Amino acid sequence: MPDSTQDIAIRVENVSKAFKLPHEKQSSLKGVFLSSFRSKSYELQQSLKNVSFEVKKGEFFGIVGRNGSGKSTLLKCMAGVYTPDKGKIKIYGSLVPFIELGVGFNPELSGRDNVFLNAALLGFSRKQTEAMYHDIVEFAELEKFMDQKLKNYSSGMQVRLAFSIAIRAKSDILLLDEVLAVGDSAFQQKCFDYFASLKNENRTIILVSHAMAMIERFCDRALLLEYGEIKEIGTSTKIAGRYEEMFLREEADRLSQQRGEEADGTETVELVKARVIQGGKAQGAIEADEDFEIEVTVKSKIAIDHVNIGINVKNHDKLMLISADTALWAGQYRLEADKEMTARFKIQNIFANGVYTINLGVADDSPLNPHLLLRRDNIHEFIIKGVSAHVQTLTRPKIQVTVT
Amino acid sequence: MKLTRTVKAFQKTYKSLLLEMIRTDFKLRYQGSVLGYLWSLLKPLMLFAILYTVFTRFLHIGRGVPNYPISLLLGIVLWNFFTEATSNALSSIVDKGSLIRKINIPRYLIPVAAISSAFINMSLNLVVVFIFVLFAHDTALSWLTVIIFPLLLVELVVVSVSTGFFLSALYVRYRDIEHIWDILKQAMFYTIPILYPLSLIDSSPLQKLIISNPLAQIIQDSRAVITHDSNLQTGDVFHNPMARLIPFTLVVIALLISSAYFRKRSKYFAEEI
Repeated sequence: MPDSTQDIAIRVENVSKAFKLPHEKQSSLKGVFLSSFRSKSYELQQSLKNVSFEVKKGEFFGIVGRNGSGKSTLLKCMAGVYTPDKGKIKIYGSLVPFIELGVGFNPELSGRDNVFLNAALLGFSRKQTEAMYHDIVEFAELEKFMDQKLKNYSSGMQVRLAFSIAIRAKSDILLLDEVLAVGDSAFQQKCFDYFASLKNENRTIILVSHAMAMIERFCDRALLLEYGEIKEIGTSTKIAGRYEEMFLREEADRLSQQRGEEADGTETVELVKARVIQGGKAQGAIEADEDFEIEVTVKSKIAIDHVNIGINVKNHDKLMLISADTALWAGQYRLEADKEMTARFKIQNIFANGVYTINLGVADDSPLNPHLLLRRDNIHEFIIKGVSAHVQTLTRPKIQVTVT
Repeated sequence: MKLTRTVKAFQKTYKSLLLEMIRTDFKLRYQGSVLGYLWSLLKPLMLFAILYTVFTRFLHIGRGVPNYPISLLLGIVLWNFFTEATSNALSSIVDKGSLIRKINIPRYLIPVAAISSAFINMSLNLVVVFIFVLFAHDTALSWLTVIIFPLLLVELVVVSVSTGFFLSALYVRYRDIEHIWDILKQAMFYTIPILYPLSLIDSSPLQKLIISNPLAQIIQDSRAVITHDSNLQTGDVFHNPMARLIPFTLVVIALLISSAYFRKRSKYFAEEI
């Protein structure tokens, strides 16, 4: 396939990487002598397993995954910092990695000296650095501080200086770690502008990030890593959605594990089951924009004349989004002793994506002696699918905008 | 064509990186000190003053040795370079750990930069040595000096680079090396004819053993072409011409082994530091 090679920037073939994590690190000879008598004990941490993919020239490619999924290891393998145990990585073109800003910065040197050192690490000759020195300093807005030692800079100033050197890098391929986008919002905006300009220049970029909004905004394609394996490669929107979903599902699992078995049999009313229904089926993950039902079934030991079953739904931040009960919405019902009663709440889906929990309350609303019979928090949780771009809002009602 | 151009471009970038690293090293070394770079001249001169006083005034070892003071000074300067270069190199990889974990630069640049800054120091020191030599009588300066001494310096650099590569790679895994190397340096300082002329050793096999050490050979041969021609050269100790190759062979073997070891280990520096 000589033709296809032409437009490939990076080819990763069956790359595996494991780290030996000794239980007790032997960094002295004594340790080595002593441990050679014992059986060697270390844990083999498989960070990458058989990872293969290709990045095309001019592509903005995202790598996503949770902490410890192998993202950074993969990035470092591509940068040539780590040598893979197995497999090959082929780079077509020049590559500059930004795993961290200001690599090699020395606090004891002046800002000026650090510019030259850092630029040399990025592959610039002294002459080239001299030619762009003025622009670097101006962009960083540090004209007055260049002869001061770097240790006297604020962290913001250091990042500004480092960033303004980094954006001069003129390689075909750039590896960016999300750590780039640190600092205040003004600086982040600068970073985003830089990413956008890279995209326009048609350079090949590989971006590692947790922020799905960033992935969706800049990347053409993305790769989802989990436990060192590629879970999926696809369009950035698809991958961002998968990642969010995976994350939310995990959180839902965590919540369901937290739910203690509170029913101890002494309560008059018990919860039989709770579920969320969409499209006629019980679901854990709900499609956005489509209505769904919350169904709660309870049972009582005694008869209740004025039973009222109420629910509310809270989001991740414990903010109550909706609340409903049978008395107000459906009217007065009587629950017979030892009989089950099911309440269905059909809900217009205006929820933003995220994890939601359902809380339950059952009361006797008799006019003479109204009292609470059961109160259970977090009886069930569900996910609203979607992508993070919408997560800033609590709800997502249908909005129609007209401009005249 | 295209390939050679790429190679050239790479060499160019690495060259400027190496120069920048050396510059940084040099700037950092005497930062905050009043005398600054002067210390790199003062230190060997002070050591020389002490040793000279002890060995000529108290112990009379130097008495009767032609041009003993400048021989001693030359020996100290060459030895100083070796110890400084190897000690700098030893910790260089570990010290630059944060760099190695983040960027893929050729690992060998790091010890080479460390050794280079020691070389700059030695060059300054040698200027002082030659000033003394110019004022001394009966020195061995001749056109031979101009040919042989640079070759000996090349040999010294190769010895230091080999040792430096080996130690720096070893130090990543075993931090004991630092202390072991301190002891070995002490041992070598006394077994190499720095304080004393080789002619003071009256056993011929022992002389042969000592001069088989490339460092001893370099110092003795340098003295023979700079300070006084009565200094024993490799050729004077080994009568068999083939045997004269022993120190040089050792240098080549050391270079091969240490660079192979360094190359092998350097792949894992990033994860082992």
